[in-house]
Amino acid sequence: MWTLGAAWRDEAVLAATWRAAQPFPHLVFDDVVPATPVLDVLDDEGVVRQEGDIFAFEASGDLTGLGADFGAAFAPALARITGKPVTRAELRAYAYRVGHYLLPHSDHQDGLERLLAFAYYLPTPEPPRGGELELFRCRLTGGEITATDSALLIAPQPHRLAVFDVSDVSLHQVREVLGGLRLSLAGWFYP
Amino acid sequence: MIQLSRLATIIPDAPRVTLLERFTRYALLDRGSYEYADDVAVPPELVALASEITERTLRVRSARVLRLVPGDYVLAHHDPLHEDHRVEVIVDLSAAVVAGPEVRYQRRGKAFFRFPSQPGAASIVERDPTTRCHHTYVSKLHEGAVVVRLVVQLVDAG
Repeated sequence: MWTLGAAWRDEAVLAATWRAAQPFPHLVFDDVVPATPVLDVLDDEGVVRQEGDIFAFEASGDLTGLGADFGAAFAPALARITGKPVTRAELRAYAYRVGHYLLPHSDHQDGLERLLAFAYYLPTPEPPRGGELELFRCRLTGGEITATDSALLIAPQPHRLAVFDVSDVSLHQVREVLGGLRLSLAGWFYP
Repeated sequence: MIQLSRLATIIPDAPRVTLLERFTRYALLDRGSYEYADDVAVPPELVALASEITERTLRVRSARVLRLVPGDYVLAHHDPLHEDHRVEVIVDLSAAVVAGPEVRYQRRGKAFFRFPSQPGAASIVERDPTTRCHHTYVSKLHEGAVVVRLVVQLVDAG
C-alpha cells in the first residue's frame, strides 16, 4: 500500500540530513501518498476521546495491519538512513479537534524500545489551524534538563511524514488545535 | 502518627489573600509552564480553617502562588510525592471563572478529586504518599484568561 517516492532515493543525503537536523535528528517527507487512501482503510475504525495531564485527543486502538504495512514499507530504508535497527512499526489513528493538544514530552521510556517516532498527516474536510508538531531544544546539566526552548514547527500538511529520534531530549509537542480537524497516523518504529 | 483520613473537599468562601504581583516564569516545558510567586503571606484564618476541617493542628510548610495564562499547565510528574501526609490547600484567586482549567488529584494513579475554576473558593486535600496533582492546560481559545491559585502545604504542627 505504501511506496517510497523519489525523495527517498538518495539515502546518503538523507542520512546526512538526519544527523545534522536540529534540535535533534528528524526528517520530513512530503507527498507520501499510499496506493489505497488511508481514510478508506480507517472507515471501520472508531476513535475515542482520551485525556490525561499531557494530552486531550481522540485515538483509535492499535491498528495492527496498517502498522505492519507501514513498518514493512519504511523500516528498511529508515534503518539504513538513521542507523537505528528498526524493523517494525506500531501506530494508531488520532483526531485532534478544536481544543485538543499533546503537551511537551519525550517518547523515551525505559523498556519500551521505541527507536524512532513518526507522524503521518491525513487530509481532512477542514484543515487544522494550529496542531503543529513543535520540537524543542533541551539543555542538560548533569543529565537533567535545565532549559527548554522552541526550535522548530512542522505543519500538519496532508501526506506529510515526519520521522524523529526518540531519546531523553527529543522533547516535542502537538500544539493546540484552534480550528478545523487534524487527522494523523502516529506511532513508533521498534527493533 | 499515620493519618488514615483522606479528606478532599471544596470550601466555597475561603479567607481573603493579599497578593504581591511579583511573578517569575517557570518554563521547563516537560514539567510545566506557569508563573509563580513565593512571597505570599498565608492568612492565619486559612490555616485555622484547614485545621478545623481536618481535625489536625497544622502549620505552614510552604506556600506559592501560581499564575497560568492560555497555553500554561503544570504536569503531574512536576508534583513531588510526600511521605508526611501533608494537607494541601488551594485557594482560587482568579478574578473570574475560567471554564475548563482545574486542579486534578490522583491517588495510586487513579483520579479522586478535582477543583474546577471557582474564584474565592478553596480546596483542602489530605495527601497520602501516592497523591499527585496537576493543573490542567489553559486553552488558548480562552484569550485573556488568567488563573491564579495560592497553593499552601500544611503539615502537623507537633
